[in-house]
Amino acid sequence: MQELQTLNPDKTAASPAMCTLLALNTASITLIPTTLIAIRMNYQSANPTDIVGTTLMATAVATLAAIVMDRWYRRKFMRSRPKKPPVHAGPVSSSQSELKG
Amino acid sequence: MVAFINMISAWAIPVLIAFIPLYAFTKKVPVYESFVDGAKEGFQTAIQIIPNLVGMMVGISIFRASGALDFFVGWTGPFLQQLGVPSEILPLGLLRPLTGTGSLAFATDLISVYGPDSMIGRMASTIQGSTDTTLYVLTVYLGAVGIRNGRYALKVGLLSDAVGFAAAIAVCLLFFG
Repeated sequence: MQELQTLNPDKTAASPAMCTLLALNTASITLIPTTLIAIRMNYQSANPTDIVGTTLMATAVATLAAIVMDRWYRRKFMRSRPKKPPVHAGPVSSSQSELKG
Repeated sequence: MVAFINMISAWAIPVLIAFIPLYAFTKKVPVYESFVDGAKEGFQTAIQIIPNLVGMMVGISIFRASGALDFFVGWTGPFLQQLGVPSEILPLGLLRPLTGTGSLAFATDLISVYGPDSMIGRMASTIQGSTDTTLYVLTVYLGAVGIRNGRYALKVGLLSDAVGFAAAIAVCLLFFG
């Protein structure tokens, strides 16, 4: 995140690259849900690790969804603003022409 | 397929624990030194993000204590029950992106009440394990570099949490149903 911040033109707002990192991180591919396995052991589960497989699948689906949605919103975000932001708020038409281009 | 998933379940932990230091060793990475360096950075970050964390935790506490969470569960529960989602599990889906410790306590409670090998217990385990606490991750990461406008990161995080919640329930119904 700190490395990405050095590349970020606007230091107070997240760059698209940061949003992608965050999307992946919040969905977080979980390889081993250790805490849950420990809790299941505590409550005398017959097979404490049998949720590893389902967790892997659920986390894979969530991560895939995060990637797709990040792409979607990134594209929307990129289109919504002109390449060179004007110093003061520009007329609506300038961003409209950007939409077509 | 079920046998395959059980095999992954059984082997994932020993393989990963052995693989990481071994891989680092073959790449000639000083394993222990790297660990200590990383841990040191983590400590500084922890101090830096305290103000952001305090703000977030107050907001979440108000959301829960004011009854807004219960209101939402009561409102959507009957509809989701039609789709095979047990209403007991619904608060966990709402708590999961907001608070890691809160949702872990709730999941533990479900496991102790319904049993770890019940459908609800397995769903709770899968939901709790399959995703990270979105709000906490955003607070920590954005707070660490002093960003106040997260743009669409929150939207993407919460939407993918919803997808993950649905996926966890569907997968559990499929394999344990």
